[in-house]
Amino acid sequence: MFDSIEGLSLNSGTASNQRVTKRASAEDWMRRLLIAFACLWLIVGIVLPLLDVVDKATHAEIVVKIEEPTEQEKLEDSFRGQINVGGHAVILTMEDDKKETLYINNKPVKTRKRKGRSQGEIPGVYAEIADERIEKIVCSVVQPDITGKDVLHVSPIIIERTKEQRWKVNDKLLSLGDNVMVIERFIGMVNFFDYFGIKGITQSRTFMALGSIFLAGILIVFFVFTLIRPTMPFNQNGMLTIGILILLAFQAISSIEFLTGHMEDSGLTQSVWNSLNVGLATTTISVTLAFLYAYGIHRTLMIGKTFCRIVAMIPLFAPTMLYGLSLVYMFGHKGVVTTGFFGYYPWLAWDIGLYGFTGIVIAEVVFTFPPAFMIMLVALSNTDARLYEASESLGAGKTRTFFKVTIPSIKFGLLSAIFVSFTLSFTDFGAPKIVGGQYNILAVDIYKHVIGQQNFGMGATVSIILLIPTVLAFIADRIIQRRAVALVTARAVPFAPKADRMRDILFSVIGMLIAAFILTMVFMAGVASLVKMWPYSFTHPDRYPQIWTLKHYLFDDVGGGGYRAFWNSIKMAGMTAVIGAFITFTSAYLIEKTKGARLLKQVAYFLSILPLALPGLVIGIAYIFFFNKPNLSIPFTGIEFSNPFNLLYGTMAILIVCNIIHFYTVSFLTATTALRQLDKEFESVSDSMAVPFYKTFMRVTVPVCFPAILEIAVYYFVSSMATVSAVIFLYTSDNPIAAVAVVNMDDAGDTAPAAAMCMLIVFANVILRSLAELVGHFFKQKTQAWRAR
Amino acid sequence: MDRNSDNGNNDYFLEVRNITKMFGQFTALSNISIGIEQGEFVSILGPSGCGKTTLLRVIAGLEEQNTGSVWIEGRDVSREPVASRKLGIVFQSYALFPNINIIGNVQYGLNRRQFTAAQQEQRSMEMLELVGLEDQASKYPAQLSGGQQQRVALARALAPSPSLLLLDEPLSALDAKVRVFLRSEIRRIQETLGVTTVMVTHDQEEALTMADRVVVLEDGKLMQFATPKALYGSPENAFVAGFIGGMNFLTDSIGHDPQSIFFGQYKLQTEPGRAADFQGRPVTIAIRPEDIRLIRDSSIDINVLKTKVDHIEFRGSLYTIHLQILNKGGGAIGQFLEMDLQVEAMESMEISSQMELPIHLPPERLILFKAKKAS
Repeated sequence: MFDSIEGLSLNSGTASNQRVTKRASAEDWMRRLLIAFACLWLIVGIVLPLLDVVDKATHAEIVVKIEEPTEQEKLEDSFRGQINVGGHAVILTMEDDKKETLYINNKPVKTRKRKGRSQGEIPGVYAEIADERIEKIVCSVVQPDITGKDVLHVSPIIIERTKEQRWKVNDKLLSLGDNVMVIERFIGMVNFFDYFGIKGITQSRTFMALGSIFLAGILIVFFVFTLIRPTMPFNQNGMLTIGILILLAFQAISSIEFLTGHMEDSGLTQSVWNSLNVGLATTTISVTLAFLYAYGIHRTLMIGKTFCRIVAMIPLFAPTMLYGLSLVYMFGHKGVVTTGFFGYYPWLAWDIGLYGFTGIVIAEVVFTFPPAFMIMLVALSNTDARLYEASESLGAGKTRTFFKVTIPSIKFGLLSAIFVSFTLSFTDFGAPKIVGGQYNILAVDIYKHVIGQQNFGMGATVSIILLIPTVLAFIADRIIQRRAVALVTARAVPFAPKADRMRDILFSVIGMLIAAFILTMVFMAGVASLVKMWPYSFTHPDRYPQIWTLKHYLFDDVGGGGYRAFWNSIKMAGMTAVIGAFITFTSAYLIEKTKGARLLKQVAYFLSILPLALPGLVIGIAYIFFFNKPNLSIPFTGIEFSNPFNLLYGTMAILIVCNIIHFYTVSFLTATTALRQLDKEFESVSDSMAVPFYKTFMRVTVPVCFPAILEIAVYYFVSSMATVSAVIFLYTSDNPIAAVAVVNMDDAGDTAPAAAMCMLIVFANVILRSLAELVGHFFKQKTQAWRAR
Repeated sequence: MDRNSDNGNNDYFLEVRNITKMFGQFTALSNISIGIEQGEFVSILGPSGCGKTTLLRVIAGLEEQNTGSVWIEGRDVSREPVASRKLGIVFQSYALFPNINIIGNVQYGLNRRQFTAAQQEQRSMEMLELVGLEDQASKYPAQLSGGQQQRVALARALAPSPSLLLLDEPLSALDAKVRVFLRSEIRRIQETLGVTTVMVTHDQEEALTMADRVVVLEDGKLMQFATPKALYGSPENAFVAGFIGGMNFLTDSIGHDPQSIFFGQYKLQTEPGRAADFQGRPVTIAIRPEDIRLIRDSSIDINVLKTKVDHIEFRGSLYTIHLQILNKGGGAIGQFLEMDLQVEAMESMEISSQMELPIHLPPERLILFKAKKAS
């Protein structure tokens, strides 16, 4: 602002005082164009599908069906036409006395003549009849659920016969030969209130309730703010705090009263609490264990550090269903532990009540352990040993040092681990699907609504409910990470633990126990997949003499696609890895190393970070809506055109796009970190020598960042192989997916083949990882010369 | 400071006119104008944060100025991208491509359309010979020492025959001995090729020994643009005086007539006419430590100050004596002077701490500045 004003005032002076904007070269335009293209694809991949989720959740689909009698029927029958709209049936018949009779919802309705037409009406439905025909219907109350009693007030739906004898629904002509039309009506938050079992609220009350919740939210934020900064100038003597507390209490009470007043028993509400419980319990256990494990590895002289490090990473290779299956084989009805080793050691029998909360939490702890552990380990390694020496020299004891040095230095990592664990466990679908039993959680609810009941509106609604905590965690994490400042300077001294017998033994035991548990969780299902008839091969060896078999790996007589699904998954993961690594690294490079175009870069960066907040299920459901739409329209303009992305629906391409988006942020941040380690001036050097940027990108940036690119590709491959949440909505029988096959086989009771498929996925991932290690090793050797020092 | 821009268009090889650069509300460069002649070696000198690197980056086109223009060979290049300015740049970090060997780095900027592969190699080898690294051609940057990397960066910048060479703190990352060696190396290479060069540095010794002329910047403002000798001998303002070499400042002085100034109870003579602008005004008197004289005979009776030796520092080839100035009655007035003294003089005078020592300030050595308002 200031510059331009100054520039203007000086314009009257010499010409050289005008603001100088450098002419953008062709290369600059090319870079900007590429960034804009990156934004565009992320918008298509994230923003538009998400908007469709919101759209589906807040709109009801109302079916209009028109039936008219054939000429034959007119002569022989009394039937003169039927129109169904929003759960109402309007029927016109000619009764015996040749009198027109109008039925609405199976009840005769009185009509009166006006302007040559008969008019009949019940609350919400109005009909006009003339010449033994239905001429017009206006409907403003619909029943979204035919079996229920609930009604919704919507803006009127007008069905009219035109002069050309065609039907028109809200100014839209029904195509010839067609008698069904689906129109959308805005219903606001009704679905959400429905989900929480709050019924019978009108639109206006909906918005009031929404407003009060919003207000309460603002007050809470404000209250927290006054707590953090009690010295705020207007916070005189804490009066403001107390005032806000009173308001808050008042607001909360009235909101709760209002909502509970309309609440009926609903099993669905329970799943919100269940999901939260699972998320919180998992986070507490997982982060605690990850901290102990990482602490042991970094700060003590425990034995088997390398072994523990490797084992901690193994769960990354497996789909979460695997932990569910392993748990079933250990603690399920016929599990090893539950049956006391098949009755051989009855005194060891222990039924932990696996199905439900317990099982889900155990599986989720294993699932969230690797990322939590990695974050904790990085946080612990980013500490300066000199701080500990200083603390010791100042006479602080171990406990004091722990709370004054260790905790503050890892607090950002700790918070990050908490958010990651919570988001992952709150939104996971695979394990709860296997061991959840009757314990409903949100992710499984979405699946049931979409796959089971084909109720997409409700699926979208639950998706948004699922999104709320994850988006909040995402925002909180972003704010905290922005505050995190590097505590470690270049001169920091790495920490070297000293021997402490008791502590070392303790952490060795803890580390070994955790590692052993992880290995058991991964390989229990593998062992079970080799057993011919679980558990009878053990309990009745006389009748089932053969115990071990590979037949479950043949996938004969089971659904899901068998090896076709497996190889298809490999193909999908491979293509995701190659295309994903290319797109991610190139975008990160353009955003990180382009000068100017700040706004564009910020938009691109934001869009690149956004997928982290999106659970796979939400991406999957969003993709159904967006890619399945026949037409796209530009809001407020009325322009509509056929959806070009519709072509992708049901193909391999949509699975790849979905996986790239699902795992985009982590890859993007890896690429960004690698790029930031490069000299800032590489671009300036090549600019000054008039070397085009893509040459430097290919000749310098890519080779130097090759290890990071390899890492990104492996991450894409491994994650795409293991994930089930997003692709479960998008696969087709032409494109079967191994992870989905696991779910389907388990659903069908084919537990052993399901376990076998999980093991194949793990093996594929381990093999790929090893190959990547080999390539990385080879690369390192070949480039040792320039990586020296 | 605008005088250079009034000289018409074609006198200078590189001309910077009225450059102003803002970072948000912060003014990094304020109305800078300088003209540099063909083949000249100019150094931009100033304390850290003064905007010297920003000025270099504006000249290079790596930063956009808010106002003002940059002219190279009489052509306004303000709106040109870096690539079309025909520059060679050596960055502080050298920014050598780690995965490309030395000769590959040097020929990186040689265009395929202008040079055949053989010519590229020949040109690169010439450049490497020039910097004395022809035997390192197939090594990688990480295998060379810091000083060698610096020379590779120089060879790479020079290979495409730029008309202008820009050096951004080229020696700051090296240790003292290598630095001294490279100073003369860079100057030798620059003179061999006759390429106009602008170098940014915060090290005044580097600037004074290498450059034909020096631009002194402070807080984004041009303080002085002159030869090293002129900067030292006749600084235009107190900042330059204090920044280049050691300098004593005496405050609480008021101009009396065109050739004398009151300093406390003393009246100091200056060169005739030098004090003309300061009559009746507060003034700061500056004198270099080596210009203060001891009084060895009684013939000197002007500009004599009574002082007491505060403490003595041994500096190897000379001594620095810290003096406290006394008024005529022998009381301290709270102002101090540093005087450099040869070892021989020191020993013959038997100077020791706390002794009283009259000194002489030669009138022709006194430099006068307008006193700052605050003091």
